[in-house]
Amino acid sequence: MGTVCKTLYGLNRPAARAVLTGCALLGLVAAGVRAQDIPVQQANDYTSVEYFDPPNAMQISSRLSGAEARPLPGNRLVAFKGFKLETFATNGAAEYIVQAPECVYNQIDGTACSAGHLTIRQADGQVTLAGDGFLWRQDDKFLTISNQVHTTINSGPDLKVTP
Amino acid sequence: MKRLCLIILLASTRWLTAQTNAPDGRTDIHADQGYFDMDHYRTVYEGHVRVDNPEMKLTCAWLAADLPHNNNSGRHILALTNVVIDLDGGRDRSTNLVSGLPNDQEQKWHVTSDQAVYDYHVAGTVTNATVTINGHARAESDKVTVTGEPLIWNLGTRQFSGNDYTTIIKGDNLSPGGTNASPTSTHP
Repeated sequence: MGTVCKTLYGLNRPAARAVLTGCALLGLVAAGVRAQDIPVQQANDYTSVEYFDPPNAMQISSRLSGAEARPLPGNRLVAFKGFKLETFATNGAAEYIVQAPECVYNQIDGTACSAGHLTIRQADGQVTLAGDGFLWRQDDKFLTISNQVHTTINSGPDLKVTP
Repeated sequence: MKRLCLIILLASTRWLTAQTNAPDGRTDIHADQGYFDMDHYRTVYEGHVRVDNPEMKLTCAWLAADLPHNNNSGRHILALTNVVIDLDGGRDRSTNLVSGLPNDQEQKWHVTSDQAVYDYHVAGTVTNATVTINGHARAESDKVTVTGEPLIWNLGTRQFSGNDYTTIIKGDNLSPGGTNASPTSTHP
């Protein structure tokens, strides 16, 4: 998938998303699913990247990955296990690492949600958030945590993380 | 039981501007619900909000926090509605008014208000950390009750200041020794 991402490097965001999603679904179909079956099978090590709009179109804005991805009927939703989202600034610096054991990602409106646990870590190590049950909106990077929210702010030295 | 209250009205304006060295430490925020604006490093918490820090413990119904990020270590936290703060006042180095001896005791403050604002920022080598308490602001230790609008707590000097600053010394703390004292309930 890393090779695919490099090949797609430079495509605009919708095109890159469409190509990656299409490849993922084609891979699922080619994995031995019978023609009459709904093409819903498991894919491992799923990765999808998004790029900034011009003039930063060469920079990755976010990288979404999952240890296991299973498109749900309608191919609009993808159920992830081992969900991980990394976001980056326009200078390439890592900003956040979002992780959830499982969630459902909506490819159309760019949202992710789950009733399960969620952790968010600022890449500089200063802040960690966690909670149970969440809705994340990709477009405005806005997250709602429904239950048992816990934030830890560390005032120690920065822990630099590179993408 | 004889109780004596001495009310000292200090200058009506006594804003604290001293630079201090606030201690570092981990801060934990717990709440029922949370909202996180990842672009602006801002979080909002609702319901049974609780903040734990080596210097203080705060509870309230609603809280917004600007989080530190990258090279910006500043912090701004706004707490609203039924704000209750327990502050570590450090060692009381003041002198007993009657005995003339140092009090030399650990001091704890219990603060209640409608609103509190925690500000933390670093300018060069100097760190400023204050808690500004507004709306029915009242701070109580075992010796005194302090009111003001607002009250400002400096986490470096561990002292209060503010507008309309009033200190009410609880009566039994004026007697020599000050033991076997029950706190005097006072209302300014």
